[in-house]
Amino acid sequence: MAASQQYQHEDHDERVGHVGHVGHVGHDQSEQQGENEQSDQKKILQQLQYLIRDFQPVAVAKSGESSVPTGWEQLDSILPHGGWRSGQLVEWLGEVKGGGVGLLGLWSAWQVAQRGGVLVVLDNTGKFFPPAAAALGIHLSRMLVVSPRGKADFDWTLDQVLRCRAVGAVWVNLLKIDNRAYRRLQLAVEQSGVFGVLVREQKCLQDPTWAHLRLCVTPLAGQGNWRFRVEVIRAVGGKAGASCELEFMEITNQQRSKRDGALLNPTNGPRLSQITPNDFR
Amino acid sequence: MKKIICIWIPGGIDSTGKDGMSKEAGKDTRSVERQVWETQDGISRLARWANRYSPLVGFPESVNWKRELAAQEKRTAGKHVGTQYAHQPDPRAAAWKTEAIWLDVTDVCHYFGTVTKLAARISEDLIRLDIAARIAAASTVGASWAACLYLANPTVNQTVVLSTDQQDQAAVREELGQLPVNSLRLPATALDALARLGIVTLEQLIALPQDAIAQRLGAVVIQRCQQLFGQAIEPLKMIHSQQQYLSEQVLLGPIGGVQMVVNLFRHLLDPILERLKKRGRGVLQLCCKFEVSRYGQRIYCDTTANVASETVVASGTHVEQFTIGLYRPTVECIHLVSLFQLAWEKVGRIDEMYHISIEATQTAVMQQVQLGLFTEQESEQPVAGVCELARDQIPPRVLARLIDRLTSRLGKQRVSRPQLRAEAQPEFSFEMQVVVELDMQRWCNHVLRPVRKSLDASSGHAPPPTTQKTRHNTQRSGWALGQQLSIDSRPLWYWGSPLEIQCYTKNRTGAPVRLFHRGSWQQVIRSWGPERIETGWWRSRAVRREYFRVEIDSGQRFWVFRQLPTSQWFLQGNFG
Repeated sequence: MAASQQYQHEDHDERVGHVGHVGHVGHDQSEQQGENEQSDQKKILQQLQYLIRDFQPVAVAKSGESSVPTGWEQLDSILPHGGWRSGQLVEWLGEVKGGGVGLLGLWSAWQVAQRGGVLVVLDNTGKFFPPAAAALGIHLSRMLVVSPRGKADFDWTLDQVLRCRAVGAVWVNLLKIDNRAYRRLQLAVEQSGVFGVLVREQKCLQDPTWAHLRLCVTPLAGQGNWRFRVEVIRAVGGKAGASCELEFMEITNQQRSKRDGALLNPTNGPRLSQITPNDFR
Repeated sequence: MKKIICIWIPGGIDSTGKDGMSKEAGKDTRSVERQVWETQDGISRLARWANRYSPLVGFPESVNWKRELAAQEKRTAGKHVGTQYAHQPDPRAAAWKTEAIWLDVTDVCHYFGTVTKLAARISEDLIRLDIAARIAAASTVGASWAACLYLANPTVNQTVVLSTDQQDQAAVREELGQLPVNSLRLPATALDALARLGIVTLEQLIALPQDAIAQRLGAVVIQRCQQLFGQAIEPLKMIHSQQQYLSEQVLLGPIGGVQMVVNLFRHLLDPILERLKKRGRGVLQLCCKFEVSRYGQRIYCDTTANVASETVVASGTHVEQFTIGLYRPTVECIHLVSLFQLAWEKVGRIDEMYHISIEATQTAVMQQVQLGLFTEQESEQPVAGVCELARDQIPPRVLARLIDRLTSRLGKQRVSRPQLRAEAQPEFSFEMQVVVELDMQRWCNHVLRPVRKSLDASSGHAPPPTTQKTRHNTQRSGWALGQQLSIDSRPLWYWGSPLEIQCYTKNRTGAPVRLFHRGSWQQVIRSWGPERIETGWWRSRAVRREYFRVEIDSGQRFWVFRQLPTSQWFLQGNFG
C-alpha cells in the first residue's frame, strides 16, 4: 500500500512536469525570438499551480471560509493559504518526547477550534496533561478528551470525530496508520470541514501521507526563548521546502499587560503576547 | 380490616430494574436530575410489575423527588442537609418516600389464598428477578412500613405478616410498641425532639397524653400514631401504570450474520417509534435482551413458557442484555440502529438466537422546535451539504449524537472534559469530568459558538484578547486557579507515577546539570526552577518537591523534580 501511494505521487509530479514541457515547446514554436526559457517555464508552472489549486477538493474552498492566521507571520507566509483552513489534515512531525511538536500542534488546533466546534483530544496513553493546554490559553470547557482503548477503538474513534461537523479540530498523537485508513481520514476531513492535527514522530517522515500539510519541527537548543525550525515537507496547493523559525516567548503576567500593545500582532490569534514572530530565516 | 402489603427496596431501584444494593458503591456520580428521573421511572416500573397482584398500588403521600434525592445524596456524601440535629435520625427513616410502594390487597388476596401466601409469592418473584427487597403485610400503611423497617430480615427476602384480624389487634399493638419511633415516618425535626425528650420506643410515645404531644411535637406525631394503629384513615395515592413500549419476537434459532440481527432490531423498533411519535415522545434508553447460544451449545426450551424462560434467565449464561442510553430523546431509527450495531459488536460470537425483546425503558417528551415559514418539519437527517453551515449554525444534536456513539462504544468514563482544580500537586491539579454529567444542550450550544464572533470575520483581525476567566472558574477557584502560567511552564505529557531518574546537580542552586535519559547521560544546557511545592499532608503524608524544567542539548525539554528530603530525582513529564 505504501509503495502504491508513493507511486501515485510520483506519477502526479511526472504528469505536471510533462504538461509543462509541452507548453514550453509550444511557446518556443510561436515565439522563437530569444525569450528567456527559464522565465517562461516559471510562468507556465505558476499557471499550472493556480489551476491545480482550483481543483483541490478541500471542502472549505466551497464554503468560502477564510484561513485562520497561525500567530506567526513567517509561518503564514510559507503555508498555502496564509494560515490554517478547516477541512485540512495537518501532520506535525518531530520529536514527540519533549520536542515541542505536540504543543505547536495543539496550539494550531485550538486556533481553528475557536471558530466554533469542540476541540477533541484523542489520548490513548492517558498521559495528556490538561494544565498544559490551559497554560496555552485553551478553554478547557470547549475541550473533549476521548481515551479509546486498543487500536480498533482508536481508529474508529478518530474516524468518527473527524467525520462530525460539530467538531472544530482534532488533535491526536498518531504512531502508525495504514495507507487506506489514512486516505479515509483525509476524505473525512474534506467532507466534514474538521481541522485534523496529527502529531507524529520524526521517523514517520519516510511514510507516505495523505495529509494536506506536512510540517517538520526541529527544536533549536540553547537560543534565547524556546525556538523551533519549521519546514514544510508537503503542502497541497502550495510550495514545499520552505522553512522558518518560530519562538515561544517567556512573558510574565505583569509584562504581558504592559507590553500587549508592543507585541500584539493584529493578524494574530489570542494570547499572542506570549507567542511572537521572529525574523524571517 | 384492610390488608396492606409494603414492598421496600433498600437503596432504591433504577429504571433498568437493578436494585440499589447491587450498585457499585462510590461509582454512581449521576446528577440529581438524572437520578430523580431514573428512580421515579424505576418505581413506576416496579408499580407496573406489582399490578399483577393488585390493581391498587400507590404511595401514602406525593413526593418531591428532587428534594428528597438531593437530601439523600448529601447524606450519602456525608454532608449536612441544612439543619444540624443533636440526635441524627436513622437515615433509613426517610426511605419510605422514595424506595417503597404499597399494595392494597384487601379484595384480591383471597385469589392467592391468604395474605401470607401472597406476600411469600411476591417475595419469590422478586428473588427470581434478582431484586433484594423487604416485604411486610399489615392492616395499615404505617404498620406495614414499620414492620418492613424493623421486623423484616435484612439479609433475605423474608416476609413479615402482622395479623389483620380484629381480635389480634391488641397483640399487634403490643408488638409495634416495642419498635423505635423512627418507624413512624416522622420528619427529622420531630424525631430530634423525641430523642431530646428521651422517647425511644412507640410504647413510650403512646403512653404520653395526646394533647401534650401535639402541643410540644406537632400534630403530625399524633396523626402518625393514629394512622399506625388504624385509628385514622390513610388513603393511598395510586400510581397509574405508564405505557409500556415493548416489542419482542420468538426465533427459531440459527441466525444469518449481523445484518440479520440488525434488520430484526429495526423491524422490532419501528412500531415502538411509531407509538412514541404519536405521543410526541422520544427514546432515551433502550433495553435489548436476547436469549442466545454460542459455540454450539444449544438450548431447547419453550421460551413462551414462563418456567423454562425463567430458568434460562436465572442461569444468566444464555441471556445477553445491554442498554443503549442517549442524551437527547430521539425517534430516529437510523441513529438507534447505528448505536445498536456498536453495542452488538461487543457481544461476541452468537450461533443461535431464540428470543429477542426490545423495550424503551426511558422515554421523554421530544424537544419542541420552532418551525420555519416554508419548512414543514425539522428533519433529523444529516444535512446534505456538509460544509455549508457555519459551526454555530450546526444543530447541537449533531454533537450529542457523536457523544452517544462514543460513549456507546468506549464507555462513558472514556469521554470526558478536563477541569482544573486548585491543587498544587500535579497529580491532583485537574479532574476529568464525565460528559454524561453535563447539561448536554447547554454544553453543545456553548461549544458550537465561536470564542469570539469577530474571529469569523474574513479579515481575521481580532481585538486584543481578554483574560480567560470563566464564571465557573471564578466561583470554584482557589488562589492556584487564579494564577496564569507561561505557556511552557507545564508539560504536555505527564506520568501519574513519576519515573525515577539519575541526575547530577549544581552544588549552589541544586539544579540538574546532567541527567540519564534513554540509556545515556545528557547534558542539561538550561534549566528553570526550582518551583517548590509542599502539600498533600491531609491525604497521607506531606509531599515536598522541587520542580525544574530542563532543556538538554538536543533541544528537548523535560519536567523533573527532586523529592525532599530524600533528594531522589524523578521525571514527571515532557513538553510534547
